[in-house]
Amino acid sequence: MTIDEERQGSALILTLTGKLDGATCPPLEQRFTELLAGDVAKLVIGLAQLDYISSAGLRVLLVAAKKMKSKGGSVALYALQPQIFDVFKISGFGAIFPIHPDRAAALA
Amino acid sequence: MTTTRRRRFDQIRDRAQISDLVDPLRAQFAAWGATPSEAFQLTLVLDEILTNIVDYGYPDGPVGSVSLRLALRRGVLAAEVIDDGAAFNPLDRPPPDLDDNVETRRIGGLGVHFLTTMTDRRRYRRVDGRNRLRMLRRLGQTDDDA
Repeated sequence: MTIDEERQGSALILTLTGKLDGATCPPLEQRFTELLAGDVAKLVIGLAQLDYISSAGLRVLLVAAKKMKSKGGSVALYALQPQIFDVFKISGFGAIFPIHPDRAAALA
Repeated sequence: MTTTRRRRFDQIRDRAQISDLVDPLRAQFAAWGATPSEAFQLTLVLDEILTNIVDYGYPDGPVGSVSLRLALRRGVLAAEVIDDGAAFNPLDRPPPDLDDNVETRRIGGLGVHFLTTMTDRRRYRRVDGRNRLRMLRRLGQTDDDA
């Protein structure tokens, strides 16, 4: 998995590409830990190029959302592939995260 | 005509190996008639079960004998995961917390939830010191637009 970053004001846009599973989630978890120690108020995560996620990946996203919430920030997701959107629905994560069709909506 | 097609994977030891193993399964399931949604979900379920075994099945030592057997017969995929780790029946687990509040939602239990929601039938047995988890799913049933 690769992580691309782009800063827009107090928001940070992360674009994830590849697979987010038990083997590939540690670098993202590490990056979240670093980012949450900084001044990012809004984390916007683009998943158009993410073609796989398992519960290990969902866990990393949930932990980041909990930490952002506790410091008054937010996490939004956009452009989920259909199969990944299904996983979010089945796991109840679709109700935990704001999910947007595209980046502009997620940043609004 | 009834042909049975099979794949077998042995010596599964860690998360990296599981990631490499399950990755090509999506294409395998698609070749066997699964829709994109079914191929994704079956791959996910097997990933979750195998990851759970290597994470928790061997608390006192190295991962032992873990294997996955796949068979396709009459359009139904049968997958069986066999391991000699601690006895664990995933079908006995309570349903997970599906709380939609980010602050109170607990983490965990999702792998078993995926197993029960993404397969048609499941059976667990403990035989000769091994966990044998078998699951079935008929392929080509969902109406994907992907």
